[in-house]
Amino acid sequence: MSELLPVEVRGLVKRYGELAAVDDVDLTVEPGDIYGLLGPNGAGKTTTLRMLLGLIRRDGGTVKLFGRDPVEGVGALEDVAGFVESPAFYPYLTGRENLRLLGALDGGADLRAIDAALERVDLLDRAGDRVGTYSLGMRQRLGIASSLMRSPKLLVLDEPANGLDPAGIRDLRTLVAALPEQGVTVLYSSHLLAEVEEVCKRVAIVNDGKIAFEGRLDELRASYGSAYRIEAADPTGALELAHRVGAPQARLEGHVLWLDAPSDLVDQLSIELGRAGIAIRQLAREQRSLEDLFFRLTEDAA
Amino acid sequence: MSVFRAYGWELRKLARQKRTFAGLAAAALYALAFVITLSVKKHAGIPPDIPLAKQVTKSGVVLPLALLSFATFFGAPVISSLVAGDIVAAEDTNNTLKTILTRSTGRGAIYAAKALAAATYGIALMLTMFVVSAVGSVISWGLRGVVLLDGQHVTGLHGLGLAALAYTTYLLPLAVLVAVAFLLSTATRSSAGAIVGTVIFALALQGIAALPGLSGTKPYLLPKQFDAWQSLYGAHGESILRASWVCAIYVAVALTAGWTIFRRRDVAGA
Ligand SMILES: Nc1ncnc2c1ncn2[C@@H]1O[C@H](COP(=O)(O)OP(=O)(O)O)[C@@H](O)[C@H]1O
Ligand SMILES: [Mg+2]
Repeated sequence: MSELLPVEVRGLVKRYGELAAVDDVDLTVEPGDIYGLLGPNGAGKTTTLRMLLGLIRRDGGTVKLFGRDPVEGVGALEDVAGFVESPAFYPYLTGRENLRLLGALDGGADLRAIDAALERVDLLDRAGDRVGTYSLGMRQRLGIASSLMRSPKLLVLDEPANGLDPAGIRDLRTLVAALPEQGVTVLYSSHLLAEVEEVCKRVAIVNDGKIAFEGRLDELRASYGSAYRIEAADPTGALELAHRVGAPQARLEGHVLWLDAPSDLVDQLSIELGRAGIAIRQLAREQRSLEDLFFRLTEDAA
Repeated sequence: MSVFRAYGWELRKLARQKRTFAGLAAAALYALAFVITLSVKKHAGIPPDIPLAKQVTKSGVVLPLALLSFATFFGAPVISSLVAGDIVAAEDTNNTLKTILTRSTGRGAIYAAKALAAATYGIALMLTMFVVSAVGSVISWGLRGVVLLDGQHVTGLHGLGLAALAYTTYLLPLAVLVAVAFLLSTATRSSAGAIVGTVIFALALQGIAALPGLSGTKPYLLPKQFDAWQSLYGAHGESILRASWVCAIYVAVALTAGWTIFRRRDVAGA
């Protein structure tokens, strides 16, 4: 297949003094994906997206959007639209005027396309008001409209649900979910897993500028979705043994030993515990919610 | 193409902001105050070193020149830097650079459009001062003929044309201060910083020009360029041609420096 990848990022680095805000990040977004870029505040999501949109220069790595490098200039953004952080507009112009201005910068404004975009985010009735009078959620929706009116093949959204009320979030989710059918690939950043869980198939979880997980959400569930909970008579001894049998990520929480490991390893550990004379009081497999998992991944990586 | 589309919107943005009109209104009021003061105080005069000073109450085509002399170095430069100094910095204040730089118009076209808009404002400003002072003064003293410095008699219309040319010539040094304000707007990202910086720049250049022992370089320093229009009347013998290229160099240096910053700058919020 000769179709170009919407996003292909390799070894991306951005440093601010000592801080590596983005530290060797790889991302691959396939056509038709709704791809979640997840991570807590300060993880480096916005910084990554800024480099994708050519707003800031990178200190290392490569970025390709449909095969083109954004450092070339806006030509590389031909099929790309989106925004980082809260979308910003001229407060003294109306919503529609702001879009007309952006349409002019796109090479000519099609007034019908502008009103269609406003309609899609349910902002048509306020389009004649100055943006200075808009709420945060309305500016967020105007940001989405300003991106849609470019008819992009790749839409980059940075925490687009910020400032939206529950109904707004639901509308946003419906809108985003329908985009792949229209040939639009979406790169969607969020600090909340729950926000993208329903619409994203693939995610990258970033923490401290590094990728903690990259792959399908169901893979994430399968590989990290459950853990074994072991209560042993001698927790410290049990932890040592766990490390010895090849489960280095085993850890103690109080007197409970948590183990992310395939079942054969757990089998082996239980035998070893018996041999060592450490009694097992309870051994259970516990399902983790994705939220939980997300926390685990983003806390442990540090 | 894209530069002109962007330029059109830069003008529309200016037209929607209060500061744009506040500046023009201040200029108009200043010009009007000149006319009124002089027509009320019958025997008040204007400094004799202004061309045609003695004929100021004989024909309406002289007063605009007095205004031009007084506006020199402060009035017009401060007002034009009010807008020129804001034109890039406002994008930082509103956080809108990221919005406009992710469309299909490159940084170069955006920068050029903004520079053109700043220049346009300078022109609008001088036009306002010229029109208000000329209309007020012609109403007060009539469009009568004047005697030029070389003794030549010219019609009132001719005199008015000369005054218009004088204002046009004044645009040359004004463009330098506009370009400096524009550079500072790009560099400091603060509109107040740009305005203050431009005033300091103008003062510093005046200070330098006043230094003893610099007489050889004086014709190439900025303050002299503000007097270039007087050579239209045969005074001082300043060359408008020299003002053109000297100012062009200053403008080019400021705009290039600004572009070097703007082209490479990271657009990463506050
Ligand atoms: N312009 C900047 N100057 C200095 N540090 C920055 C800048 N932008 C981001 N950072 C730092 O980089 C890290 C990542 O920030 P960001 O990409 O905004 O995270 P996220 O969007 O995931 O919340 C943070 O520690 C932040 O403080
Ligand atoms: Mg962010």
